[in-house]
Formats: sequence, structure tokens, C-alpha cells
Amino acid sequence: MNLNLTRQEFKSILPRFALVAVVLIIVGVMSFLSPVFMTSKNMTNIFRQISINGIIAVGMTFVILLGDIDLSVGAVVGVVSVFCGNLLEQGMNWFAVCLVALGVAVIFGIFNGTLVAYFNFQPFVATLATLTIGRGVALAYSDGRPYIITNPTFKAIGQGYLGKVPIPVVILLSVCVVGFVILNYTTFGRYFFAVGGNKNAARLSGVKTKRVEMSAYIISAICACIVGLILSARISSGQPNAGEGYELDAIAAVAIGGTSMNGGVGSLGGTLLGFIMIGLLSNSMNLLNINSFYQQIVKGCLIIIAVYVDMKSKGDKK
Amino acid sequence: MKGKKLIAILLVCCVASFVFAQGSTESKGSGQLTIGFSSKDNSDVFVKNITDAATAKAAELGVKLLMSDARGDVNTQISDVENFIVQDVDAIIVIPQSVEGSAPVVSMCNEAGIPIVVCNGDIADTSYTAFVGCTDQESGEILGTWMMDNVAKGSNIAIIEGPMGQSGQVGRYNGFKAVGMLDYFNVLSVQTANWKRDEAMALAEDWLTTYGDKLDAIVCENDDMGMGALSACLAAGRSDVVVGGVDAINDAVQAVKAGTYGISVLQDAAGQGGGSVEVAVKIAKGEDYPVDTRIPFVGITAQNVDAYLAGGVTAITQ
Repeated sequence: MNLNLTRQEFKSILPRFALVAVVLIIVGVMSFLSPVFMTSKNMTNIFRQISINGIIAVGMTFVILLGDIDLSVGAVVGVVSVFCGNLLEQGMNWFAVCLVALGVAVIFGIFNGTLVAYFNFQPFVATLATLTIGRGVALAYSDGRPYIITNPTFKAIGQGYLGKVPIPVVILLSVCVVGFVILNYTTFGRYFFAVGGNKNAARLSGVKTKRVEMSAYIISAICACIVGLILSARISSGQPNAGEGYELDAIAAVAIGGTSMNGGVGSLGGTLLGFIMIGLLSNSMNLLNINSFYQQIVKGCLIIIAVYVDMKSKGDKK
Repeated sequence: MKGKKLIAILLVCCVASFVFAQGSTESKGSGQLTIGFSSKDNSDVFVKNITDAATAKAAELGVKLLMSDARGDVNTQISDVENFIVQDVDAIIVIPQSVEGSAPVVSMCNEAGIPIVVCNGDIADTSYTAFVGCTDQESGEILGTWMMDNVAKGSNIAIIEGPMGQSGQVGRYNGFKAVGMLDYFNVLSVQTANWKRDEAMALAEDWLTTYGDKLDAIVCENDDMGMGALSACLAAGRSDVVVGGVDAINDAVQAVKAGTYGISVLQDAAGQGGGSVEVAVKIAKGEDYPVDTRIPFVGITAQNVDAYLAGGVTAITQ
């Protein structure tokens, strides 16, 4: 009995353990292959580079925990980017701009949530539509042209440092901590597992499932908004095409992190490892000067391997 | 145990992938110059021609060229340049993905004390070390003038643009304006196809349906889109529609020779790719270098296509 339990426990941490092992191996091998890999400058780079995908992936984890998916995040990044660009060009205060952007993003989240929770649209279809609408809004609003951002305070969101740590990394850490606390230490957070595991059972035991679904999309949109702000600040411009394809990278990170696409099972810790791994791998391959086309093949293979390990460990448990 | 076996497989995969890559990282420290080349999108035929020429020139000069590909994403381009800076390369060459959005790379390089050569397209921050490219407006002027000489005044034309805000799009459109092409013809529609062949094809198909026999010419800001529009016209049995573009990619030149494509304005990819490497090497060695190299455009039409195919660029520029 006791032995069984430890074995089960081992099985459940196995995929996580494998991820940590792979991350450590990449780090180990790379420090031999590239003299610059272990430098603090490169580490700073890696974390700044993963902050974009990481923040979106945190929001995406909430949605995928419900067994849903949010394809619209990249488009929300684009919308936020052009709104910021235009409002800053008109001389609006940077903080007010951030609030407006947040408001706009929340509207997109509510839109997604309403379609899925109250009109019973399939999440894939609903958010695909929102993705298309959002990208269209960004292009129409800006007439396809980028805005130039000169506001130094706003630019610091993407380019500045807090001490020696880049601000995007600080934001990433804050988002992770907040997400972690919500998901693991609040009743509201545990509802995500309940609803994702069995929606009907959760509803019958008194969980307001529609509200939980709605809030998942709002959380995801807020994360996308934060990324939109960081990205626009980092590239000093509001670009209607900003964030194209970011949803797929985020989904990849969540999948590698062991969160089941069927919902109910998963963790933010896994997602964290997932996006660290993707960022680490892409930085490594860049340092090794591997052709970008092959990089994509490696990334795809990684997803398959990670999900396979995950499935295996869960299959054995049954 | 199964789990252990899986981890073992994972480890082997990982190690193997890096061993494969090892070959490309050995030569550091041998006094050989290393140059980082940040391309904007190697899936674009014309950009690929530039990077191929750069790679060839680097091999010829005996310098090591690290190639990164932003795949059309500004954020990726900035990350790529960050990676080059960490690797402490001797010079960095950039094909900007966006005039405004890519601008931060210039100040990043300046701060790191690494010379930066901007290749092919304009960039908003002009404090770079050197520029090798062309004046985009000139290509628009050549294309516009040829259209006015070969298509009757007042004809109905449509224009296919590059991604809004990119220097190629802005410059070429200004070129059309500068020679008066927009007033000379009746412009039915102006749309972007993002340099993409398939998007241009869809656009041309729609125009052929909407405007029918009224449509006399389609002016494209690059050849990939021109080829797409041409395919659509030929498929609809409309070989009378005059189509022209910029870049002189292989199939466009062949189409000029076949008489189906009106004009392809040659933008000398090899001259720009090779030239930028030459300039970067000169800077890295501390030799005198030209700060602003402009490679001229030249129109390839039925008159000179044979000479070009036989003797290359030099045969038609002299």
C-alpha cells in the first residue's frame, strides 16, 4: 500500500522530472559547446526572450485547464499594440494608455467568454473568430501602418531594467507568482481543476461554471494585454501585425508542461518549465547557428516527445 | 522500468541533436572574423537571394557568418541581434523587418560597441555604422515610368503593395507617386498582399471577377506577388493584362523572356548581400569603408532580358 503510493507519486512527477532533466542537459551541453552560453548577459537575454511567450502561456494554462483553448491572444497583442501606439503618439499619459489597453483586452476576453460559456460555441471556433476579428480591428484601426512610440517611460516597460533584471522578466515573475497563488491557494483557483475535470459534477456541487469559464478568457486576455504592452515598448512601435502566431507558441509551452488538452489536469509549474525549455532550445540553436528551418522541426519533435512521456505516465496510472 | 527507458531515449535525442550541430561552432578563437547576419524572412525568395549571396561572399573572404532568420517577426529579430551581441561578433548585418520596429537594434549595437551594417531596407534610427542597399523609391519610379510608357493613359490599373509600413512598400509607392503614375491611370484598387504570392493570386482573382474586362494592368511592388497576379490572369485567360514587379527573381525573368510578364525591376540581391559582407569585413578589420553604398536598380524588359540571362547584371548596367 505504502509502496504503491510512492510509486504512483513517482509516476505523477515523472514527466516533470524528465523536463527538468532535459533542461539541465541542454544547459550542461550548451555550456560546453558555446563559450558565451553561461554568461550573465546571455542568461538575461534568454529570460527576456521567454517573457513574451511565458506570460501568454500562463494565461493559456487557465483556459486549457478547463479543456478549452484561446486562439485569439496573438490578435489581442496586435490590437493592444496599435491602440498604445496611437494613444501615445497623441501624447496621452503612459499609465492611462496601459489602462485603456487593459480595458480593450478585457472586452475581448468577455467576448470570448460570452460566446463559449453562454452561447455554447466550441472554444476553438469562437476564439478563431475572435482572432480574425481582432487582427482585422488592429489593421483597420491603424490602416495597416505602424505607429512610432517615443515615450521613454512607456519604452522602459520593454527595454528598462529593475536593478540588473530586465523589466519584462520582473513582470513575467510577478505574473507567474500571481497565477500560481490563484490556481493553488484560492478556492476560485481550485474551481478550474473541478470544472476542467468534470463540468457537470462541478456545477451540481454548486460551482458557477459559466463564471469560471468567463474568467479564464479574461485572465488569458489580460496576459495577452501585458505582452502587447511589453512588445510594443520593446520594439518602440505599435505594429498591427504584432503577436502573429504567439498563440501557438503558448499552447506548445502548456502542452510540453504536461497540462492535458482535455482539461482538469495540469500545473503552472509545468507550463513554466515548458516555456523555459522552448526559449532555452531556441537560444541554444541560435548560438549554434542552426538554420531556422531546422529549429522548427526540433521544436515540433520536442512537443511530441514531451506529450508522449506525459501520456505514458498517466496511462500507467490507470 | 518504462519511465527510465523513456528518459534515456530523451537524453540520447538531446545529445544527438547537439552533436550534429557541433561542427558549426569550432572555429571561434582562431583569429577568424565572425559576422552576425540577421535576416528578416528567409522564406521570401528575394531575401533568400541576398542571404545566399552573403553566405557565398563570407566563404570567399574566409570569414565566419552566423545567419539568423526572424521569420517576419520584429521581436524575433531583436532577440537574434541580442544573441549576436552576447556572442561578441565582430560586426552585425541587419535586414530590417520593420523601419520603426527594428530600430532598437541600432542603439543596442552602438551600446555594445559592435559595428552595425544595415542591408537592403531603411531603418528609423540612422546612427548605424554603414548602409548597403538601394533607394526603394527608385524602383517605384522605374516601374511607374515603364507602365506609363507601355499602357495607355487613363487605363484601369490595380496596385498590389507589400506589408504596410515596410520600407519597400513606402518607398515604391512614393516612387509611383513621384513619377505621376497614380494620376496618369485610373487606379481601381490598392491592396496589400504582404509580399506573398498566394495572397496576390487571390487578390488578382477577385479583381478579375469584380472588374472583368475593365482591368488593364496590375502593378506589383515585388515579383513574388507579380508572379501570383500573373498566374491568376493567365488562368483566367487574360494574357492581355499587363503585370510588372520588382526584384528580378528567376521565374519573373523567365516570364519576361516568355513575354507574359511586362517588366521586372532588378534589385541586385547578390550586390547587396555580398556588398554588405564586404563592408562589414572592412569595418571589422579597421580599413576604410563606404558609409552609404547604393546599388542601382535596372528594369529588365523584353529588350534586355536576353543580355541579362547571358551576361548577368553587369551586361545590362553598362
